[in-house]
Amino acid sequence: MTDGNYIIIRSVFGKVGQKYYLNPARDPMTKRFPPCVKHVDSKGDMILTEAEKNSGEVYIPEDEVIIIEDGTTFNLEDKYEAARWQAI
Amino acid sequence: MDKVEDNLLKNFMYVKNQGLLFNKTNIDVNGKPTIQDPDTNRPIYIGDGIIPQIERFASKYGYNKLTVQVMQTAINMMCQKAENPTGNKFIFVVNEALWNQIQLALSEWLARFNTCGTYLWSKEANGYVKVGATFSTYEIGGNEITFKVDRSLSREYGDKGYGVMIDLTADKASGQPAICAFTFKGGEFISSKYPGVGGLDGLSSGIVSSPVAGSKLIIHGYAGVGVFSPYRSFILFEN
Repeated sequence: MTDGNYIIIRSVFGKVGQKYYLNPARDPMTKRFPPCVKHVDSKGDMILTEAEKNSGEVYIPEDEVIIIEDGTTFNLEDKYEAARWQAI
Repeated sequence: MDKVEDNLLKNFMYVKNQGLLFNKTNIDVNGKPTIQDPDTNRPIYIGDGIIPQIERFASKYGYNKLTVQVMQTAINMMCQKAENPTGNKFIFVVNEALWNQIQLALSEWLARFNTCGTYLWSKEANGYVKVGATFSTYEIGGNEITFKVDRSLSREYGDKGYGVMIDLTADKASGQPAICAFTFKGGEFISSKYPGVGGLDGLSSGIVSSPVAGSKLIIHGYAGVGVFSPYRSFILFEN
């Protein structure tokens, strides 16, 4: 459900306390992650170029766990929340 | 049992098992089924199978790469709902895609330690080297999950990994099992033969049920399933 610049997630099963744990998802057509999702190295650190590090943009690691449940809200005006929404 | 009867029985068992696992109910808000027998208008009731019942309450994890951390999250979630924090044994029923991903994830994880090499490779009598092993259980912090591969999930979910974890511990207070199957008394499996002219073998004399020179075998039965602790479950799927 979209309300202005907010995305509010509602569960079809209602408020039963269900939690969804989601890793960033690949585009089913291209099999690629969204631009804000970056691969991680063996230590779990994101692999970023110098330009990306200095860009001020928010990036989400590919192994990030995003927890959503009924009522979870993403504010698309907020860079961090917008990136998380784009990732899933 | 002849070949036709054998095939019919296998088909019946397959349809019954798939139904008890995946069926979605056809009963509307007024308690009426949405389908009827076209000849007799007799209502045909279908109840929810195991997966639709637990989907309403289970926690879910959509992963993009299966790792040991994903399994730990599943164990954590299940332990929070279990009676004891340790000593739990959970069974993960998985499709073939997830089964293969589990083998790879545990093999990679094990390779990070200085384990005995025979876990990863061994030399055979003919001098060949066998690489790899079969991993069936993962244990951490006093809790373990055992993986069982089931092809019926592969038929439904194809090449994407999918698995269901259900705590099968019976209710401690009432002793009620976590999952119960229901049927009418004696109605679980009813096998009928409908012989035509020539009997069942096509060459016998005697009483027949049809003027057509052909016979029919019919199996039908009543079955339903109830999950009494659907909240103690976890679904893992590849996104």
